[in-house]
Amino acid sequence: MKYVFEREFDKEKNIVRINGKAAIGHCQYYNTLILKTMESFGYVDGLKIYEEVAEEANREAFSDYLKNHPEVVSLDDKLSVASDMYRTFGFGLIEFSDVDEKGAKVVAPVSHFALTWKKRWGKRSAPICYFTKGYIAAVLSAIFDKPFGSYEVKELDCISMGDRICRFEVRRI
Amino acid sequence: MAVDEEFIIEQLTKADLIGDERGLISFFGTYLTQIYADFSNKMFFRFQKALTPHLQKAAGVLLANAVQECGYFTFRGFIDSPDWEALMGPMIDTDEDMLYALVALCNVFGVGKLKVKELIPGERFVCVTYNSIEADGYLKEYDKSDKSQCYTLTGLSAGLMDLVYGREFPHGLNTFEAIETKCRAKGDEYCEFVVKRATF
Repeated sequence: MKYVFEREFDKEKNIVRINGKAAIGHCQYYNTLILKTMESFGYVDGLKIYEEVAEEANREAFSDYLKNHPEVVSLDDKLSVASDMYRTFGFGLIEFSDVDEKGAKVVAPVSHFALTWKKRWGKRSAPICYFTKGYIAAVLSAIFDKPFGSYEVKELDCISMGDRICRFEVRRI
Repeated sequence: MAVDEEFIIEQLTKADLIGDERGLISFFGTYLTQIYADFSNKMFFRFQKALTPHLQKAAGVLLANAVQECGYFTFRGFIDSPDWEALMGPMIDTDEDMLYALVALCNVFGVGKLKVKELIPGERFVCVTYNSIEADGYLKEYDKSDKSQCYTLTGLSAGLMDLVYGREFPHGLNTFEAIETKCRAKGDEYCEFVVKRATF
């Protein structure tokens, strides 16, 4: 099932709204530099904050979407919409498998964040897809109606480290 | 011929920026993502508040620099494209026309309604907005701030001057620097960005 992308431009305020929520465009230069900034201050785990806010913002957006689209009923349809939403926003491709309330397996054959990082800064020794980790946690918590922070997402392989695809494992905390 | 901002915005907002079959949005030589403003705002403001006051300032500068670079390279890709020539070419005779056209381009990305207040060619640029998405985002989460909070627009306004009046591309980045002299997040009526030649 496809994600229904509704983008409107408010001419009075020059504000973009996607499915009713204000949105902005960010390019690869911004996205890679902001991630670099997040990990540049040793005593604050900026990447953890980045991941948590990604979960919070995407959980709200995905939950609202499900509420506004009652035709999306089955687990397969919800996962399909989540993958298509991820693709539509330009984050790359993700595929969910073995999904239930307890967790899931997810792969990302394409990741904007990992590809652009590797192109700009070279290979990493640790994964970089913190936005995707938050996104995956958001999708599962929205689908199974669990509170924020209910899922731990680990990135096992990452394109930024030279792996062929990004691979994630999700478990209920 | 003067730059017709309304026409530019109308034309550019027709483009549906959505991911292709690989999930990527290719946009004039760069890759774009569309991100909820809530994410960008909350992520940075929470990160900033976790830092000591001295480092908060450094983090703000880093974010503004990230956007300055983003604007410089992304918008350059746009300027070099045939689409830019077709849409903007007939309106642009001077560097000043170019700056106004770039402001119109900024106004397509959803950061708020940016207006030119003052332009001294090659030296100084002042722009304002009454609805910065960052100031709005800050006030949604927190009480009034004791400092300006619109790092995206600060970096972007400097990036525009780099492009128009900086050294030849790609060596013009950071020719200019910007400061936000007024910000709605700290109680001002509007946000104001003053760009001048960098002193470092």
